[in-house]
Amino acid sequence: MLAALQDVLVAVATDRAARRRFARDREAVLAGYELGERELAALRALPLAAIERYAASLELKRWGELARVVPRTLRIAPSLPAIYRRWLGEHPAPAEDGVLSPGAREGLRALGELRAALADDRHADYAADLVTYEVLGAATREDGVARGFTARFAVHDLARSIDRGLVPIDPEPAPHDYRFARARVAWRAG
Amino acid sequence: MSFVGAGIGYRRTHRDALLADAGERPALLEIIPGHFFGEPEALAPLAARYPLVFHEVGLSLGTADAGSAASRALVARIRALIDLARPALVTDHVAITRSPGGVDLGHLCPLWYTREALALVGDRVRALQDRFGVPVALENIAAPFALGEAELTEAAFFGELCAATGCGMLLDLSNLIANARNFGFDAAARLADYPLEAVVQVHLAGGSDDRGFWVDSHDAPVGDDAFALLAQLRGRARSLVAIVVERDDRVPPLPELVAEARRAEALWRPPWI
Repeated sequence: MLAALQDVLVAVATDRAARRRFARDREAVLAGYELGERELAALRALPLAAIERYAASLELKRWGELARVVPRTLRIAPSLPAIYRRWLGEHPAPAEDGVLSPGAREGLRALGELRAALADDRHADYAADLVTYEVLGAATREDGVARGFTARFAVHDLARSIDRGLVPIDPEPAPHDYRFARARVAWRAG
Repeated sequence: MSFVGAGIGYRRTHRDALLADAGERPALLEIIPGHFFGEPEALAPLAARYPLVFHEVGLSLGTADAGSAASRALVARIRALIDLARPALVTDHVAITRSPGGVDLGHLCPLWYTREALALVGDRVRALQDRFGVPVALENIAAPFALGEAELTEAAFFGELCAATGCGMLLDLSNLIANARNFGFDAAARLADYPLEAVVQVHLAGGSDDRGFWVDSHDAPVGDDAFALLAQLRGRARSLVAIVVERDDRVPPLPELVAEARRAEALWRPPWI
């Protein structure tokens, strides 16, 4: 029964839909778990505002970890935190083992969604390539697993410009293949 | 084990300064094992130079499951680093960071202080003590919310846990102050309820106010109230091994953090003693 109480707590803290259901009809949510009277009383008394604040703090913490992995993408796509947090609220993270930092692990987990969201015409044409370059590079630096991708742009050049404080506007497409190996990145114009 | 001194949480940004031949240095370093899973060799120079304590956040000792493959793998990774660096202590929290169903919270969630949870955490602590071969201590958290209907208070939970397992307590004074502010009690008065004889480490950190809720944000200097509480602990926590100043965000230059650690150490062990 302690397990069920913990499952409820974690669900409402990490899953936006579960939290909404809990706010709307707490009894219906609790009926879905095997809970004793004491557990039910504890969960019925849970202050919703505190859960909302806790959930927001968890999202913010995860975003902070991811932000350390994608600083350049954040420079050119200020909507990135909102995109990520919207997705996170619908996709709670599984507990996993590994050598990756929480930010790199989360970057890999969210990469498909971030790429898709950054590929629309509200963002720089190279934003999806840049987030991929940053996430794969960070992950490989940490775990040594070789990774690669094909970009539409010369992302390494664009990344260098951003590091110098220059945000490239409408660069010409220049397809490149990137291969990451530990701290090294190799590329070839495709 | 006698008192080692006051140190800081290791952050990569300080690495060069910590390993330099000159400059201000802390008496010890607190290491988050996960920072070295990908490059364990980077721990060796720090271990050669400083006494270390390990501080973990992901063991989720209160999760009511049979133990996941992920936590077993985590324990094995920590054990490998222990063999490499021989820390004086390994610590984690009385909390959960994942659900029995396998969802990761990414941060600490309060434990429901029941007899069932006490037995569960006690079994896990004994297993860790066997596996790690170094003293284990558990920390009180800054609770984001209170869970009612508990069978034990947090302090009683720690008292019984430490007595039953022989583990130590990592008393985070700033967390205690945060809970006192948020849930309306007197931190100094509450101090006596904890098993002070089992306190082997103290954490100090700065926090911040988030719309009326005090958060242990670890992004500011340690408050005077935490230093005052530390002074009250003097002479009562006779097993203390280490004091650690934590800072995760807005990390200042090393000398500023070392100065905070020195202030704490002077309170604990006045220079005239």
